[in-house]
Amino acid sequence: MQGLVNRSIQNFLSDTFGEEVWRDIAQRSSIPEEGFEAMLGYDEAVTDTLIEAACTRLNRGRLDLLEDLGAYLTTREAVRRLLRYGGRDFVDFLRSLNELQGRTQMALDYLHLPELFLLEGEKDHFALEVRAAQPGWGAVLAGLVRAMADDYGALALIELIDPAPDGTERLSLRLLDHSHSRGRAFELSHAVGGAG
Amino acid sequence: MNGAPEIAPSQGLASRDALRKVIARTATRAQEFEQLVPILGALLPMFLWVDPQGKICALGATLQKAMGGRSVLGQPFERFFRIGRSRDRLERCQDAGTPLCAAQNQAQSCDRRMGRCGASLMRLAQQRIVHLTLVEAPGIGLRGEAFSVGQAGEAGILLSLSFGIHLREAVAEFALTDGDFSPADLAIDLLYQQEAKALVTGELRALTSRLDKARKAAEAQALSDPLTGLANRRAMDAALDQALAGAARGGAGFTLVQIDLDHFKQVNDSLGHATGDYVLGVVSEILRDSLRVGDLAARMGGDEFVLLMRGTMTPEQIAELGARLIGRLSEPIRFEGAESRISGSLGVVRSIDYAAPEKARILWDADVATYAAKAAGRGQCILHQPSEQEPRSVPKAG
Repeated sequence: MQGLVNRSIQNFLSDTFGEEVWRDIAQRSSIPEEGFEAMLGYDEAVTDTLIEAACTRLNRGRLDLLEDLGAYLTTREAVRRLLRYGGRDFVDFLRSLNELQGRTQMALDYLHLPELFLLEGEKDHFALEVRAAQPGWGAVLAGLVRAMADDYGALALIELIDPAPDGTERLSLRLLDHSHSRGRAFELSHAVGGAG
Repeated sequence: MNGAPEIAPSQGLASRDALRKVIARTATRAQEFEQLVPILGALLPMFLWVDPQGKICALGATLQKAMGGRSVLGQPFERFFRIGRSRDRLERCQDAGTPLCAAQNQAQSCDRRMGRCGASLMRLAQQRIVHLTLVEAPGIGLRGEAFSVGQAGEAGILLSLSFGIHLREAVAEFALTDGDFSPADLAIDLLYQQEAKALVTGELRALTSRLDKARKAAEAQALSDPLTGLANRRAMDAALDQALAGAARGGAGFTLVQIDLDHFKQVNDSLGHATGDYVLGVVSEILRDSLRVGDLAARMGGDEFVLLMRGTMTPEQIAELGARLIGRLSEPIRFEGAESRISGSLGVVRSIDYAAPEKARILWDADVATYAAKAAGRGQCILHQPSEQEPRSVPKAG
């Protein structure tokens, strides 16, 4: 189900670059100006067309833009909170990525995020494997995890490295300082969007 | 009151983090801890107790079910569990008690996954959250926490586990019932919530999809001519705006063909509206046939039609299209035994012929060219000339 994914990209483009730019990109990729409905299904090819049009319009590389998209997601308080459910510190959070696909599927079983595998190496070294039907999720995750390191107040080097021979995208993560800064607050009791 | 022995109130329990230390202090010997096993089993149906050698000492009844119900007591931990979502089996370190054992050798840190020395288990006890994967059901992960039991873990580690996010899968895979969960556990509520939410989400998705279909249908209705099914004036207006915006951005230009039917009024007057409607249907088919991908045909009203062709057509291509359309429009149309004969006058405008194409101007020029075609004796196709000179008739092709 691509509606939510496409809608997120749409919000990223219009929030970051403005409505005008979004309309332009929509027109270039033959997408209706009002954009996507989160609850509807779309062909996966639409997502690729959209990203390609955005890269052309903004004169940005694909990986570059997707990393920004990942970082953008964490600026949505509701999304940031769901990610902070991952744990008390950044290492907890990294381990929780193993469960990200399962957790999102509990919430929306039609949403198929990539399957993530965290491999723990020597002290403070990690690798994250990203198994997805569409390439590009690795870059999104790189941007997202980097922003979450900031959110937890950790200092980490996060890089997209060459994919495995079978196409699995990979990130290398090196944790330099667990508590580099205070990070942002997270309280279980401060839910947004109300259970009202 | 009734002679029951009086129990002194407990001191009150410290925070969960402090409790780890309490557990580590309380039971200094495995034998003492063993007495607690029935209580643990009652309170935590998914507890697991592993001795310092990495052997399973005790486990809760629900976890036992998840292990396939067979006897696992006394068996090595790594036979049934992996740590994290690692796909590799845990390796058993054989160095315990030898000079090679890194854990006993203060100078080195031990990085072995599992050893008889218990060091690896102690490491689990230091993690706040422990993730395990069942070897026999790798799709199902367990989540929980580990406590070191006894001084320096001499009684092993105690794990309190749950199925976490794999609850639904676990319930299906191991045929669990509500009896397998403590009423104090939120597992059943979670299952209920998931099912209820799936139901509601399903309804919302169906609603979204219905609304979307209705919106599309309304849009299509608002943009199409009910009689011929071609686009209407409004749709052509929007398409022309888009084509003009594209041309202004430096994209491909377009060619606009306005078509006025000749002798249609006579058909309508003499043979009736039913015949007129039939003729308009035939005309719309002819126009549709001339479209390529990305082109648009519209009925602007009455017997007036417009084709919006993407790309700039050469005068020769326009002449050829004009001749083909006029040829087909001039073919006799039979309806209910009567024969109708019409034709068409075509006025053509190209965006490329304007320095800055403008909608009102283009439509006006298309009108002028169409009138010129009518004035030239009907069944003519005239391309509007951008210069001051009078529009000239396009030489007939073929």
